[in-house]
Amino acid sequence: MGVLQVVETHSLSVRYGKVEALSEVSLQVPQSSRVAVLGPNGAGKTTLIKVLATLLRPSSGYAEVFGKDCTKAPDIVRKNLCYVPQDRAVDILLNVRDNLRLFAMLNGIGGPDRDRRVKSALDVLALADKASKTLFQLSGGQVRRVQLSRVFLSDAPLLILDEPTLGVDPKGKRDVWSLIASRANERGTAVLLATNDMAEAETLADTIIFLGNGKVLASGTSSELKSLVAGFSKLRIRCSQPIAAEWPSGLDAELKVKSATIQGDTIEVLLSERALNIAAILQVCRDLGLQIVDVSTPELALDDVFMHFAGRG
Amino acid sequence: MKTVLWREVKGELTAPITAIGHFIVPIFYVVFFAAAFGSNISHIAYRNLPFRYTEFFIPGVIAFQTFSLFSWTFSMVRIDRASNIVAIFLTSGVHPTIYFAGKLIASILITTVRCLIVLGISLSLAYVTLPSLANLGIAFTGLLLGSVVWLCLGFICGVFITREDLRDIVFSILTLPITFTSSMYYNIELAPQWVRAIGKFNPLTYTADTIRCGMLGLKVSSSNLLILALSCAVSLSLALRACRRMS
Repeated sequence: MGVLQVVETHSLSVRYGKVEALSEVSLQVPQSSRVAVLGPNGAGKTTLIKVLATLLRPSSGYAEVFGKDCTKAPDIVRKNLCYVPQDRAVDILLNVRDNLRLFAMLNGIGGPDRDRRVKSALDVLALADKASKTLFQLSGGQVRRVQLSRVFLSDAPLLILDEPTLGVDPKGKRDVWSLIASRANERGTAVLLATNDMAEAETLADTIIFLGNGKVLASGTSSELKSLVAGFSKLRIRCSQPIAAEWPSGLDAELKVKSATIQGDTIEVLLSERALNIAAILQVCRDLGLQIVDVSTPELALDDVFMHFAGRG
Repeated sequence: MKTVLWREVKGELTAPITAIGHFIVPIFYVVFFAAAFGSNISHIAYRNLPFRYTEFFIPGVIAFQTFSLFSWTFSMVRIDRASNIVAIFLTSGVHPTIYFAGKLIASILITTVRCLIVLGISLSLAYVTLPSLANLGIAFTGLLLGSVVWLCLGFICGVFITREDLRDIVFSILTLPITFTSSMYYNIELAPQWVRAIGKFNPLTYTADTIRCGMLGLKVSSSNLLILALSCAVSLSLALRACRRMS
C-alpha cells in the first residue's frame, strides 16, 4: 500500500477559454511536509491553489487532498484544509476581534475555547491593541495579519496559503514566516504555499516546485534547485546613475545571457556559461551609454534559478 | 447556520456604515419626505377613498424598506465575493444555501426592525393611526413576501454581476423605473396607461399595495397576494439556483 499523500495531482489542466492556465501538472505533497509553488506572475500558482482549495474545477486530470477528489468530494476535502487567499479575505463590516471570532466559529471552535484562542491569536499576531479597530483603521500589513489569523484558529492538517506575505514589509514578513513555521512544526501540519518571493520559499518550504506558463519546470529542495544553475555565473554591473535603457535581448544568444535584470543603477546578468565574456557584456553597457562604476561576480542564489526558469517561461 | 447568522447580524448592527443605513435613513424618509409632500399634498384618492397623504405615503416608505434590500444585498454579496468572504465560507464547509439563508433571515429581521422604527415615528408624529392586529398581520405578510422577493433579486445580481461599474449601471437603470412604476409614492391607478401596464409586472406594486391595504384597513385583493407569493417563490427558486453557481 502506498503512502497517503496530503496533496496529489495528476495531469491537472485548467483552461480559461483558449488560455491554458495549468497544463498537465502532477505533484505530491507528503505528510507534514512544506511545499512552495514558485513562479512568476501568471505562472498558474493561484489557479493550482484554487483547484486544491475546491474553488475551481479542473478541465482535465485530478487533484486529491488526503485521498479525496477535490471535484467529487469537496465537502470532505474542505474539512481538512485551511485556505488563506492571496487577496484580502476579511469581513470589512466586523472589527478585528470579531473577524477572528468568525474564523474560529467557521472552524467549529466555540465557547470559552474560542475566546481563549482568539486572545492568543491576537497576542501572537501583535494585534491585541487593535482588537476593537475596524479594518479601515489598520495598515495593509496589519490587515494581512488579521487574514493570516485563520492559520492559528484552525486545526486543519493542511494549510494552503496563496502569497501569504504579499504587501508585508520585510520585518513583518519574517515575523509571519516564523509564525507559520512554528504553527506547522507544533502540529505537524502540511503546508502548501504559492509565492514569487524566493526568500519566503526558501525559509518556509522543504520542497520547491517551479511553475512557469502553467507547467512544472523543476522541483526539489532549495540546494537541488540551485545545482541546476551550477554551471551558470552572474555578473553585477553598477553604473553611475539609475538606468533608463532596456537590455538588448537580441544579443542574449550570442553572449550566452539567460536573463538580465535592471534595478536602479545596477544590472544583473545571468550567464549560462562560467567562461564569461565580460568584455563583450561591458561593451553592450557602454553602447547603451552607461558609465560603469563597479563590476562583481556574486554567488548564485535561488533568485537566479527563478530568473532562469522565469526567462524560460 | 448559527455562525453565518451571527456574522450577518453582528456586521449589520455594529458597523457604523450599516447601522446608519438601516436605522437613520428610514427616519429621514419619514421626517423629510412626509413633511415635504404632506405639507403640499393634503389628501390623495386611493381605491376611490380619500386619505391623508401621510397615511398613504408611510406604507410606501415601509414598502421601500423591502425594495432597498435589492441594492443592499446586491452590494453586500458582491463585496463578500470580492473580499473573499464567500471563498472562506466555502472552504470552511459552509454551503452557499446556508450563506444565502443566513442573509435572508438576518435581512428580514433587520427590515422588520427598520419598519417598526418607521411605524413608531409615524405614529408619534400622528402621520398614521395604529391598525388592528389582523391588519398589521396583512401588512407584515406584504413586508415579508416583498423582502424575500427583493433580497433574492439582489442576491442573484450579486452572484452574477461582479463588476462594480456594472453594478452602478444596474442601480441607475433600475432604481427609478422600479420606484415610479409602483404605487410606492403615488396612486398608480391614476397614472398613464403605459405606466400602469409596466406596474403590473413590478413586484413593488404588489408589495406596496398589500402593506398599504393592511395599514389603511382596506380589503386586500387575493390576486395581489397570489402574485406576490408567486413572485416570492420564483425569485427564491432562482436565488437557490444562483447558490449552485457559487459552490
